[in-house]
Amino acid sequence: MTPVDPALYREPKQPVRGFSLAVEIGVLFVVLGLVPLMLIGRQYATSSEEQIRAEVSRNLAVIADGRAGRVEAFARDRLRDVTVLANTPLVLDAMAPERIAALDPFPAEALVRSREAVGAHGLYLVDPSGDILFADDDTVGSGTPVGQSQQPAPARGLGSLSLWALTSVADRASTLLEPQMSDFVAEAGFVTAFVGAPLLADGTVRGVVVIRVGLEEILSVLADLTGLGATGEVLIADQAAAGAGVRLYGGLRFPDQAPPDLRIGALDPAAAPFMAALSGQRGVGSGVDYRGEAVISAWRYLPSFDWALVVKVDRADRLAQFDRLRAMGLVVLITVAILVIVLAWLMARAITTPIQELEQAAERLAEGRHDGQRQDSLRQDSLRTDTGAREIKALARSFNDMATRVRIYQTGLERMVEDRTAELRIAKEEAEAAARAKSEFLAMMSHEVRTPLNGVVGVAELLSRRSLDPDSRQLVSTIRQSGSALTELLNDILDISRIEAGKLSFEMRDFDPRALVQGLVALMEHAARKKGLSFDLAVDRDLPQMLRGDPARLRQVLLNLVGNAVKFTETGGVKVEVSLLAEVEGTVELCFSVRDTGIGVPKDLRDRLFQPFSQLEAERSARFGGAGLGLAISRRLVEGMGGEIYHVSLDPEPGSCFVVELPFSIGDPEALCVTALDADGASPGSHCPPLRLLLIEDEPVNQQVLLSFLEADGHQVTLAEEGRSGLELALTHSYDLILTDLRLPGLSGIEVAERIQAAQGGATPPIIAITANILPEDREACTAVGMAAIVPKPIRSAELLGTLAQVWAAAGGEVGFDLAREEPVTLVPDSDAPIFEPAYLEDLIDALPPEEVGRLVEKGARAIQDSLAALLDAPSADATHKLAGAAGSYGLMALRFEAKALEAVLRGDDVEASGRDTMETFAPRLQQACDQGLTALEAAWKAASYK
Amino acid sequence: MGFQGGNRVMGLRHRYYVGAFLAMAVGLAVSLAAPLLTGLEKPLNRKPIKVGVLHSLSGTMAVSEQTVADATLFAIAELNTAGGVLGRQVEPILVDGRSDWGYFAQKAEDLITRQEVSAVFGCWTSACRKTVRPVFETHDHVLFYPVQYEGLERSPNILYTGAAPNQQIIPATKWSMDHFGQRIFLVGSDYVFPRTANEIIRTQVELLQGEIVAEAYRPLGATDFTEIVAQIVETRPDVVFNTINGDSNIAFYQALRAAGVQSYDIPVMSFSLAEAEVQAIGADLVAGDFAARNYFNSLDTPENARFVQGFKTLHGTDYVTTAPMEAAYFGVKMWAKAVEEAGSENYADYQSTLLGQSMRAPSGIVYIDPGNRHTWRPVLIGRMDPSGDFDIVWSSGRPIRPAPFPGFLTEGEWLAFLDGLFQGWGGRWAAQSDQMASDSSP
Repeated sequence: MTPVDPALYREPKQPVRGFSLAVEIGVLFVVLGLVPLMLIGRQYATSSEEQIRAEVSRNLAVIADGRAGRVEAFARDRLRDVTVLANTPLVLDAMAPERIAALDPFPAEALVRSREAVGAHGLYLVDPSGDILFADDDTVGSGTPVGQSQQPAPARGLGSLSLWALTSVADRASTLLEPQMSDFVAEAGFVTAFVGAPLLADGTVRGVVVIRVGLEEILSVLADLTGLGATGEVLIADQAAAGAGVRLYGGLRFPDQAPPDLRIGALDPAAAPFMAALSGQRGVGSGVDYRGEAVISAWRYLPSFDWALVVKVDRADRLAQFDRLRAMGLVVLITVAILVIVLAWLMARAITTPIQELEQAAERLAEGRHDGQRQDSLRQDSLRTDTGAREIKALARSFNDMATRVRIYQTGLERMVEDRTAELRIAKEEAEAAARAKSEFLAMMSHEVRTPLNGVVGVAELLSRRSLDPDSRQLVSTIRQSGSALTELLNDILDISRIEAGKLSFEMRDFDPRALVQGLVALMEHAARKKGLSFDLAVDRDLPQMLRGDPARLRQVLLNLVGNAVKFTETGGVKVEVSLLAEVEGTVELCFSVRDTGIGVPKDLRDRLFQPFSQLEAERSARFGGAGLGLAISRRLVEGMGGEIYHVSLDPEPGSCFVVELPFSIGDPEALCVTALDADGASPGSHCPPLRLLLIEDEPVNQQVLLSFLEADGHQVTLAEEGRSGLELALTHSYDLILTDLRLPGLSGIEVAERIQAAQGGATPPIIAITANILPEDREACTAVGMAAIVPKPIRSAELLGTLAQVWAAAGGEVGFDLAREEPVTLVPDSDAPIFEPAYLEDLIDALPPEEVGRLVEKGARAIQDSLAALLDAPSADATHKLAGAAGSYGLMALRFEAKALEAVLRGDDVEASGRDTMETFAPRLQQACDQGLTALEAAWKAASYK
Repeated sequence: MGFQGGNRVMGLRHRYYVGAFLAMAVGLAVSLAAPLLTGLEKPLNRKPIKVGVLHSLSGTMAVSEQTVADATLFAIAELNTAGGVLGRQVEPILVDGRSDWGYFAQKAEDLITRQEVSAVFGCWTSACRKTVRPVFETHDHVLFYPVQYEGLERSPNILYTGAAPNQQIIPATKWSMDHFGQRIFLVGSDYVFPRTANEIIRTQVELLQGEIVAEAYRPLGATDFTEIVAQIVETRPDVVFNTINGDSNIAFYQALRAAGVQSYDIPVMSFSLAEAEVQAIGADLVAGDFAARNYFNSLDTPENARFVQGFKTLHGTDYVTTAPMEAAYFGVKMWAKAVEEAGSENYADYQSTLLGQSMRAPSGIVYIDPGNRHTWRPVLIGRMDPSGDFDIVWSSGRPIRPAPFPGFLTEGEWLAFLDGLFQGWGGRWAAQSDQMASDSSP
């Protein structure tokens, strides 16, 4: 699992689309609550309306049937009445032919009683020919006999319509031999009908008895509103003239609104039920009545009179119940709807609140907000698990667990990362320390090796100048050659180690490529000729005067290649070519090729040619000597300078060719060049007159070598063993030239030069640096402080003296001193060094936090005491060196001085001192210096820390 | 995996929603459809309502009864086309009575008890009706009887949609006496209707001072009328009253015309001569003669036009509608209205809505008398024109109150008369004739 930044997973904050859960649940609840309610309500309303309607219809139908039955019964009863009358002896006898013939008077009184008994308004006896023989009528007069030949006149009471109805009933009854009934006729304020029955006796028709009946009973049927409520009506109508609609028979409940003449037009919707009934239909339905009121009506056909009977009730009246029901239902529905909505809202809230909390918590977790101020209290951040449904509770609990796990995991992860980082840092520091130690070891080793080597080489050189017998000369020469080889070897090792340590850096300065190459050729030509080889140099004419780059590195590379070429070639020659490959805008690309006719490079080794410690090199080294690092170093250097180095095979010709291609920028042709150094011997005119020289050098071996070289050249040399004393000498005495080592105890060579410059300004004598490390930064530092030249260690007299001469010549060649007059001064280390130099402590205080300084001071004090104890216990040069180092670090200068002195004694350097001072004399001085120094250090630290 | 699981849950959630909304939609649909599917008080009942159609589809009566059966089925088909009765189809159970009254009774029993029909439409002859009557009375069921008959009957289980004597015979007799004269010759088939009808006519004519010249009968299906025709020629009555039934009319008319009796000379007033028989006889033979009926095929009313049109569409233009057909037709319609109003197909339930029921039939307004269960109907007298149509020469103009027992004799007298006939035929309602079997084909 790679820990990833949670921010990577966080998408740009986009609103999540969709309905909120609360809305969803709310809507569902409302739908769930309201839909069935509405369905039930609707169903209930529909069915109850249907039921009420059906009930009303049924009621009306029953009432209509009842009323129609009564009307029909009325007719039937009248027929029965008249049939009964026709079969009574009274009537039959009254119409007996013999009595009619005898003109016997009718039994009027009995007939009237009979009429009244059947509730008729009139009673008529008609003979078969249609003549009315007897009439008794309550309106036209009773018991009035009518003559046999006379027709009763309309003036006597019955109108012509009535009379016609009477006679037609009598005619039908006498021929069809069945009781007959006329329609009601309205005349002279009467509405009346006639009912007649034949008088059958002895196989003959004696006549017809006719009674007149009124409308009263019919009207009483109409007036009976039982079961019809406040608005119900029973109406009877007959057909008016064809197409003229219907005519109502009185008895209206709302006479004010009665239609004119009680007629309703055929097209009037109010006539519809009447028309239906008159066409023989019966039924129930909705419509309007003569008032225009919406009604429910039932209609029946009355065959006896060819009438229509309509029973109707106002819709409003009958369905009022339903309207009440509907209103109530609506109120209930609204109430329940509101209730449902409120409930739905509450329930939705109740259900979603814990989910919302969960959502918010999850969001916090996702944004990583939980690890802020809430981190320390997991409990506070956790969700409540005691509310909501079981699933919600479980979810909340799971979420809490998850959040806790995430936190634990995250915390663990952070801690792990910290641990790993710390481990890595430690490992890295260790590795770096190891690398540093290795480099330092290498540098130190080479340095340490070089110092005695210098001595060997220098001494051999000195010896070679003496007049020796040929055998000795041969021996010295061998020493010198071995020394040179060893020096080269050391330089190589130093270089590769430095390169490996990544400390390779290049300087940029102007140089003359021709001079460089020519110097190189001059250096190597001698060796080549000695082996009987030809040596050719070809330089491109177009080569710029001056280039800008690192001439020393270039020289090193070319020297290596040419050296190899000379080394591996037995016959033939070496050819060096310099050509201009390209020139673009102030930069050039040069090609250096070194070609020989030597043994060449075996094919199988070519691809490993430039690898360090390769087998090829090892083999060659075995045969020809050398560390075998030359090509590896060259490649690193070339690549470091942005170029390329490669080997060109010359197969099948013998030999090999190495090509270096390098870019340079074109330099300033006027620039000064001080690096041209010749390997062997001084260049012509390099000798300078005897000079007064100050030599600052701490290494006794180097001191001796240098002193030997310089004094051999006739110069007067004053030696200072460290920077401080050297500086004092430089400031107090006058010298023509100063030579100083760069690495000095106390003041470094750079510092010394700087201070001299600062003190003397333009009058400063030229200063030449001597160093084992010709690093670009050293060179820069030297140039910065106005040093004139650098002489590399190990010292070669030619190099040293040539440089001296060049510098001297450059400085003007004045000879400012008389060699004879001045005595050489040997400077010994200052025995008056202060017990405690606070500058060191001040540096520490400036650089480090107080507690660290305190710790260091404490540690330092203990280290110094331990070192001293160790030294006193087992005196050795190393122990004293260590003590000196420790003491110097904390400014205990007196102690350092004493330690250095002891070291010198123990190393056997200071022969004088060893004679004077023994351990017995050094021990109390060391102890004293230590005690005093530490006391002073502690005092100073306390004083500083109190500030 | 997690996302797949998430999708599955999402799918599940969607499915739940879809399910919920489907359930809601189904509930909605059901509740909206419920009022349409169910009656308010009745549970869903889509079973068809069965009715019996009981007529002779074979035997001597088949020629007449087939037409009535067709009219009955036509009326039922109309009902079904219009959505049935009570929202249910009407299923006619057509039964062939085989012109055998005992078989009729047997099948009537079967229809009532086994088929559990709502009503039985059937019978033609009075003999048949009188034979099945006890079956209906025993089971308190109802027979719709569509033929004009002699009356003298009253049953709570028979609904008479044909004419009673006072709706045909009596008015026709009066009209004939008014228009043709007092001397009347009676001829008829020898069974209960002609006998009773002629008895009524005789009584009426005598009361009205007329004269029955002669009274002659031939068994049903008889083809030999030469003797009777000779008698007519000999007596020369003012009018002949014909109550011959079935295909015997053909022989009668052929004999009559063969004897040179023409309608302008001695008109014939037929009481059982329908359009079908006229076609069989030939319009030219009948032209100029009269028929007393309650319906003529040529009646000019919208209802009749619809009836004739519909029937001809179904059975072809040659099929003429007759009075018994019309009576059968509106009988079915009356039954349907009564059942609709009562909301039940049980006779016990719809009896009350049947009584007093009325409608406009092809012949005019008809009304079921709640008292005697006969039908108020208009009365018509028509005269045959040479084209085969009847011209209406007299109409009552409005429905006439049915009087099954003519008032000029007491009910006791009438029933005694019937009993005499019944005994005279050897315990049957028709004279048994040797010829009958051989003459039964039309």
